[in-house]
Amino acid sequence: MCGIAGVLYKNKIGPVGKDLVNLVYGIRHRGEDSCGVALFTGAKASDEHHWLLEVRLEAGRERAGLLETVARVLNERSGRLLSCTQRGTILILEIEYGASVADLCYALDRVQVQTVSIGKNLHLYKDLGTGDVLDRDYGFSEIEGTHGIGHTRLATESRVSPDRSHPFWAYGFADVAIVHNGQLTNYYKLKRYFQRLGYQFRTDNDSELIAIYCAHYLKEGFSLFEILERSVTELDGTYTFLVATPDQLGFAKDKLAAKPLVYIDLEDRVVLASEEVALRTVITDMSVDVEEPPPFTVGCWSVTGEKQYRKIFYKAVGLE
Amino acid sequence: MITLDADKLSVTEINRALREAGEAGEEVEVINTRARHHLGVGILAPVKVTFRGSVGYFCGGLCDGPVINVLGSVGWCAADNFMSGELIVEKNAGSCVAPGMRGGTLLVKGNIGSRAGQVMKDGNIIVCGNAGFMTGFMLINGNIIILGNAGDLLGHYMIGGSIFVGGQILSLGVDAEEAEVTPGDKLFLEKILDQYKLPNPGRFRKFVSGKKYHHYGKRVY
Repeated sequence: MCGIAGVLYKNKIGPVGKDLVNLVYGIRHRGEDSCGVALFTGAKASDEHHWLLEVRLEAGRERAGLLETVARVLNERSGRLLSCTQRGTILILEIEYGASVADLCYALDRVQVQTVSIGKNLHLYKDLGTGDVLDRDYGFSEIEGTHGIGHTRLATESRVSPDRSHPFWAYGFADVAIVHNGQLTNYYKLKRYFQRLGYQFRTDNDSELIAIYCAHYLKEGFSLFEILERSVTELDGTYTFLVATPDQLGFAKDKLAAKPLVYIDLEDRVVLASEEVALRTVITDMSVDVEEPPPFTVGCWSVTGEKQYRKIFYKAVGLE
Repeated sequence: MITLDADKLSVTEINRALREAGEAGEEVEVINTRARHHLGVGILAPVKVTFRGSVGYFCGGLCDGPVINVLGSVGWCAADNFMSGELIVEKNAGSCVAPGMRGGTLLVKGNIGSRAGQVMKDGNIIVCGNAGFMTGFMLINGNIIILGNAGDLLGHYMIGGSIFVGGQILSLGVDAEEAEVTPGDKLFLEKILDQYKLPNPGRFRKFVSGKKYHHYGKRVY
């Protein structure tokens, strides 16, 4: 059991960080091993070579040494380190880099630098403990943005550690993050398939596969909604997951729907969570009703306010 | 009437107060429920309880005798192991309502999610709106009455009991089959709909177990 949550503001910047603190607090009873949030600030990068790179400053490691290593790796690839700020154990580095994102991530991994995320405006904070502890250490509640996702974890698939907590960033791809509640039963089969395509996995957690899965098909040119539609027939198991890309927030619910999801879709924002009790920490107007998507349903909202939603029928996969 | 403010009390304190009110025979209302879980659990007296707002998971679980009114929606697994009494929900209910229900009535005036009445052993579930998929999954006994439409796999692996549907069904589950509505069924439906002043759709379809898969009959060892 895990708890998932997401919030998206339509056509405006909102207090996404604060909302996620509340939402994660609302689903804390679904798992207290670790938690995390991923936020998109909606800020436009000054140019296409400008990236936000987040690396973890592990215990016992010196900050200066880590920065030197990152700068060296960047210099070797004709990039450079512009600035560095720190939140908790995460260093947020602004970098200028023009080549492949995957190459940079794999190169950093070879020199034992743990990359947390990379993107144009993606912030990702995750660690052990509950949401209030995370916010105290990382102070993400002050971040404003367009949308974000949050997670509380009760570990079932791999051990409890900061890098195995959610949200999972698609390793080697910019700006894709997912949170997942459930288990994938064809994890090894699909992991081997993506490894043969050249992708690298950093953990033994099944949720990482969803991030790579979404990022792979985004790279292939599919829209997020198309990916969600095919995911419910290609991923096996019981799951509900949320995906966030720079301009969209989507969900997919499997055919058994043993993992809950409810949402409130308002004019200015949409809020999703595992349980209504979490939604009520953000939307206090009790006259607004929650909606529960039926099994085998996918949906996504974009920051411009468009909604795509589809209930897939059993005939599609020959279950009938 | 006792009024409890859920904002100021823990779930344990609310449930303890409900039990004490039940013993004293007093009516209770709970305000500021904010979809909190485990409200109204383990009440073993015929007390009248009103929740003014939506409640979360497991509302009315392990109860014997109370009449609970929810003036909002309920989350998953409402009326879990309900023994007797009534749980009346003014709006919608989540998935897995009334699992292992043993008696009494669950009335939902809106829609319900998936897998309602899973391994339900007796009692009645009445849904005024639509029911989600796998309604009556492994139903053992009792009645599920749906005035609206039912989703996929209705009565999947049902073992006994009856499901009445007033509207359309998307598909039947394994080992569920349609049966004729008897005059006795008609009388029962009219009586129970009349009792709660619900509109009668006029025509019902009845679904029962085909008895092909699960056998709990006599067996010689």
